[in-house]
Amino acid sequence: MRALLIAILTAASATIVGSAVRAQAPAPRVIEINAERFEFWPSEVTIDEGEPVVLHIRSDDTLHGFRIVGTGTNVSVPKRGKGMVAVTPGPLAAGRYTFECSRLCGAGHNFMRGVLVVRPPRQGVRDEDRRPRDSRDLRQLPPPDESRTRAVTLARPAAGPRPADGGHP
Amino acid sequence: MPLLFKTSSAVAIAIVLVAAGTGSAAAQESQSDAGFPNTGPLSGYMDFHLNTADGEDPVLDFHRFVLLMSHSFSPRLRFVGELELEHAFVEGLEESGELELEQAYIDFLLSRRVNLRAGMLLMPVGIINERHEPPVFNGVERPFVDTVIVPTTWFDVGAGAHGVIGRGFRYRAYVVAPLNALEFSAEEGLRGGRQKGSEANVRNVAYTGRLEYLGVRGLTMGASFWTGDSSCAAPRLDPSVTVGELDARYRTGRLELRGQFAHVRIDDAATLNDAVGRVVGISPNVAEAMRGFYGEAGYRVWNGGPPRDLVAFFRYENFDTQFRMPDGFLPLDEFDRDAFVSGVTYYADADVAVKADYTFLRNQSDLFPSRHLVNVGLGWWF
Repeated sequence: MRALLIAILTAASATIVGSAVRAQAPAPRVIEINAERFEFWPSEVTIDEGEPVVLHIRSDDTLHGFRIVGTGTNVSVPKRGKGMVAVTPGPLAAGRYTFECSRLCGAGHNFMRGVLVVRPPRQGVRDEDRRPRDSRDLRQLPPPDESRTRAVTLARPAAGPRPADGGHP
Repeated sequence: MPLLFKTSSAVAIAIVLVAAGTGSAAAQESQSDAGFPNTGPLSGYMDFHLNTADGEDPVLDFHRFVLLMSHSFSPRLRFVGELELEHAFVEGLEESGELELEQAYIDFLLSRRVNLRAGMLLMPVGIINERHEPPVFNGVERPFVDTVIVPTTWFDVGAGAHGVIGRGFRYRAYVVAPLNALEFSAEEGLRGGRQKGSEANVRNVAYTGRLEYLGVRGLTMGASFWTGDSSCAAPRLDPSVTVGELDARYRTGRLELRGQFAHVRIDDAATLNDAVGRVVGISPNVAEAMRGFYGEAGYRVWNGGPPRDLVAFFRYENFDTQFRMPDGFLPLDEFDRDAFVSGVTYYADADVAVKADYTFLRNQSDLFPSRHLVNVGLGWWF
């Protein structure tokens, strides 16, 4: 009986802790992208390195493709009225990545390109200061300490695809 | 500067740019060439129409059968080609259909700001010339302004650059083969003068460019130009031609608006008319200025997504290929025209458009009556 009671309490504790951990994991930022002959809007998307992001891509006309050059991301964007495609870019190192329409969509197909900018971590913010101090507000991060900027070593880039050589300036 | 030197310099500069682009692209090949080279699936568009006009026999015509193909040699080297058959049938030495190579170019994709392109190019003038797939515009036929003022589909051989600059600005700038002024006409303006890259005479070259702004969601604004001395079979007769154009498209919710203004100037039009008149016996009466503009409003009355997708539109066009005549020549008033076009476009699929429209076409002549046109068409892209 005592063993059963301990087992029940242990399971309940694990459930509560798991819920708390999930509550603290930041929800991915959703970025809406529209595809139409012959442009993506917006054509420049900026995210932070390591930031969880999901791209919602919709077409305003025909079937398009969406490829992030130098990565394995290459999906079809459904025609107008057929929904959207959600793309979660893999972990990307800081840099600039071209994205483009990967399915011939008309005379101006090769104009249909954009850039995904992955910003490096902010300098002067210690790793421990990045973690929220209060689980109730994930955005309560301390401001960067300007006096320590020059002394801070840049964080190592995340593992994963790096921007292609000759990436866009 | 002698014409030969000027032309050769322009061509040499274009070749150097393309060669530099080739070397640069090869040197900057990315490490991620997986999946290259590859040939894309065959694409294309088609349309066929029933055209009726009061007092004339109706005409059923398979107007366009167009195939597009692409091949990527690498992520930075791309080929795009477009082959068009018009009016279903081509017969040698007869006025029937046309088989045309409308595009065939290589893109050297170097950077966001600068990319190089060479081959058979579409002139970056106007809304329709680079964006003319049937589901993309309203009306069975293309706008009149994009037929007789901007001679769509306007293509020729050349080379140049394109890219994105600043925030939301996109440009194209090409050096291309010029027009043949001997083929200009009073009714269709520059249209007959397109050399279409077929053994084009490049005693002179032309320069063309376009700047677009796409920084606001749903809005595209463009300004373009085309200028060059024409190259004709007649020596010392190279009338300069300049085309200036402004356009805009805006879409918000169910409403789409678009407008375009184009102006053509032909220098030495009087000399051209005299020279051609002496050769063929009748002056072509080419104007020294042509002008056209239109405004269109479309509203998506049924907005449930294809197949529950229907657009109603209205367009007013004004196009005058005799806008201003050289001294000693009178305008032919039947070519000072305007048109009221209204119709619907039904999308059975986002790529399949069933179209119907009514056009009231009038002119300023007392001799030629206004015309009532009813058109029905089916166009698709795949």
